[in-house]
Amino acid sequence: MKNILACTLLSFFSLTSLAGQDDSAELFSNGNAAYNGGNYALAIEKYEAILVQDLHSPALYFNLANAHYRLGNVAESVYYFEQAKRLAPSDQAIKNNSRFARNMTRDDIEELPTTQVAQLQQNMLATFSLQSWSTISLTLIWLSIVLLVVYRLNNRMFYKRVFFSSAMLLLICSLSALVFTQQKHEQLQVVKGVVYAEEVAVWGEPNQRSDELFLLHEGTTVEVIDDLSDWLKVKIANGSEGWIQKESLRLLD
Amino acid sequence: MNKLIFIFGFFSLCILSTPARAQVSFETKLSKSRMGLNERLRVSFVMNENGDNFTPPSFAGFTVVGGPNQSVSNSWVNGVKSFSKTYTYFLTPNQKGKLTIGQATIEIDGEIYKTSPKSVAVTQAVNNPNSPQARANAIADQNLHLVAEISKSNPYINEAITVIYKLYFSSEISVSNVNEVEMPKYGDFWSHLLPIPKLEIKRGEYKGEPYNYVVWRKTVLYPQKNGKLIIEPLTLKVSVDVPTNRRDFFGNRVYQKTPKVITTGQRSIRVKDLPKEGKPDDFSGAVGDYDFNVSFNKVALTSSESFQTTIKVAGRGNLNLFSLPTLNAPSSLEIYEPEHNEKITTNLLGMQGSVSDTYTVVPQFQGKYPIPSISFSYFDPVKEKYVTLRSNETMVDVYEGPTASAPRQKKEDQRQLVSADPYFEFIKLTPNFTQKGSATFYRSGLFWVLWITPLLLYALFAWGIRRKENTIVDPQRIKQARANRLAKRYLSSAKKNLGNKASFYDALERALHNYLRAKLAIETQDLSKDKIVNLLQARIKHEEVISTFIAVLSQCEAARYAPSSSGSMQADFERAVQAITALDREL
Repeated sequence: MKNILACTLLSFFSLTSLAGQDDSAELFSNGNAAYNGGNYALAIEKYEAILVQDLHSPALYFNLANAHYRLGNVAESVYYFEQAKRLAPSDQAIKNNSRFARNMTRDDIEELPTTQVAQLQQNMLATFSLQSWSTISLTLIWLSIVLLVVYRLNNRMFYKRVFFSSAMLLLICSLSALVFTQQKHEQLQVVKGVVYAEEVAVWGEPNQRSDELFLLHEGTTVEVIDDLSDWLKVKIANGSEGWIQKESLRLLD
Repeated sequence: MNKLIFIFGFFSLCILSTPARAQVSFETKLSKSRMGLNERLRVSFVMNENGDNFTPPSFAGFTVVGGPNQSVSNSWVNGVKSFSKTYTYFLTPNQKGKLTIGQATIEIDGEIYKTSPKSVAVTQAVNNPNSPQARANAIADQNLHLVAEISKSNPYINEAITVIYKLYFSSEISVSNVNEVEMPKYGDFWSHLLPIPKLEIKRGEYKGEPYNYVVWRKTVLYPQKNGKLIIEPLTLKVSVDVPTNRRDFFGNRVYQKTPKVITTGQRSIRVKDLPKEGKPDDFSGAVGDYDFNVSFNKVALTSSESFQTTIKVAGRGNLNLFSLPTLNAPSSLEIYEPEHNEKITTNLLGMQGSVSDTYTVVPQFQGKYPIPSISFSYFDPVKEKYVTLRSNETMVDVYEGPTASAPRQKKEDQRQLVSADPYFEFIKLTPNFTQKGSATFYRSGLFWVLWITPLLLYALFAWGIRRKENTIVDPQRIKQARANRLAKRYLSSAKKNLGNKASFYDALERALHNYLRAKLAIETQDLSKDKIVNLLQARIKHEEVISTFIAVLSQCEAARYAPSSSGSMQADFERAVQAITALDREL
């Protein structure tokens, strides 16, 4: 029952989004034209009008970030590049331009070294989106079952062996794809934020009586681990943690 | 005619002589304004018209030791008559302190004139009263003054104040050989001594009287502490030429040289702290009136070049007593230590000029680098408020060079390569919009259903296959297997007792009986061998099978009372299994 409801809702959404597509596509191309003409402020206006319609895409965030970069808006630029990266983690253009944006920030944070295994895992996770990973897992399990059935129906020993072993291989692949899907899901659950305030202190405790640990500047990306009233506990790329006031941060969707 | 002229001349003489009467003056003159307790004071009341009914003041605090002496002088100079009449008293003071000579009155032409009161400071008794030395000292004291003029007695911290030391001396004396005995140390101040190239004697006033003065020393001070600060005294040793009453052969006055040490005395000023209220965070102690400027020598360059940023503060105030704001720039720019420049001149108004820091910045990668606005705050002591100046945010564009990710291009190859350096890429042109925040497929019900379904389907399939196989396989073999299984079940308790003779054969016999009961559906407890044979013969054609079974049964009975080894027990067990299997196949 719930599934049916979800399905109908989904189809309903896709219908409405289809209705809005024409309008937003026009806004998008208008924005692109404004960008190419050097009118970055107008381009931003157009792109944001699309965001208001609850539509998004890596390309939209990418273009928005580029326009902000052109205007020298550090925090906004970094923010939208992060959004774009979140939707399309393996896009080379986004990676490349976001490095330019990161050059504008004042904080120089040395990232913690990662092991090769972790790096490999990160790369694997970045290869596909959550949707793709789950689809891969499903496809593999169906394929493996089909192969198992073929194995059972076949009488010749050689074919039986071949089908059985490939079915088992596919089953293992499917299970690991499921594990990756779960990891991807967890990765996406991590709340990230970008520092919008020009300079903000990170405190040892969520109050101002505690020690000031370090300063962060506009455009630095942080990971949010905890929150308490007006404060967020954040972790920066070098592993340092501390509390920061909510209003100085903008969280990624 | 002659007579007429005479009369006219007489009248005109009368007319001319009558208005010649000048304005009446009547005043008190003192021989000194400062005296020792054991010295004498001469008081003269001088008038320029003759009067009557002179009344002296009471001279309270004094004893009259001489007088009144009266003297009158008349003189004609160039036909102008001058008249003076003087009453003189000699007094000795009775007490120390400030004593006042009161008003004396006189009646001139029917009108009453009064003198104005004058005061005398009476000090300690002097050693040698009325000696020439003491007199000279007294005169020097009266006519020589050293004064420190402070421009402001309650300045703010770091607000410039000037101290000018002036040496006043009256025209009666002359001064030579001035030496500084004690130089003030300005402990809680930043001080700057202004050079005085040449001493100049100027005319001025000291306490309302005309004096000559020399500016001896000029200092600019910046107080560094709040509260009451003491400006230490300046002490000078001066040779003073004092006139004496004696005259030399030619009638000129004889001057006496007397050394004198004079001091300004300690002065204190009260320094105000800068107001706490409205103090900007970036305030670094600058007080004065400033202009702030951040300049770049270029804002567009390649990464192989460098640019310079100058942070400059110009104006008037404590220029070298505060730190300049530092340059904040993205961390990806390499910033070298700044070069500090000061161009300061100091005059009576304080320091003025400019201080600047010049940073050399080298970009390493291409890109745009925003240099955030830099703010500089100072306190304006005139307006009594803080002023914050901000520079504009500047964007430095490095339009050529490697990007942050790419290693620098090797220049070994002389051929021109088509550069594949990463550059800031153009926007994307295909949108591919999706709904924001749409439900994810993973972890949805549908996902799990789709994942579990194939497993269930396969299980169903496998079950179906197995059933189908069961019907295909030969029934004979199935029966055989089932009988074996049955026999084994019944014989399991016997197998457990293998080795214990009595209980083994007992269990074996019971197992065989139970098998028969189960197989043939016999209710009764009575199972004699004959009855078994009968029952079996009714169902089974092969006698052989029945006889084997019976043989096993009888063996069980016999073996209970006969010696037998565990080896024969094992053989009997095997036989029982075979017998049951065979029987089962028949049934």
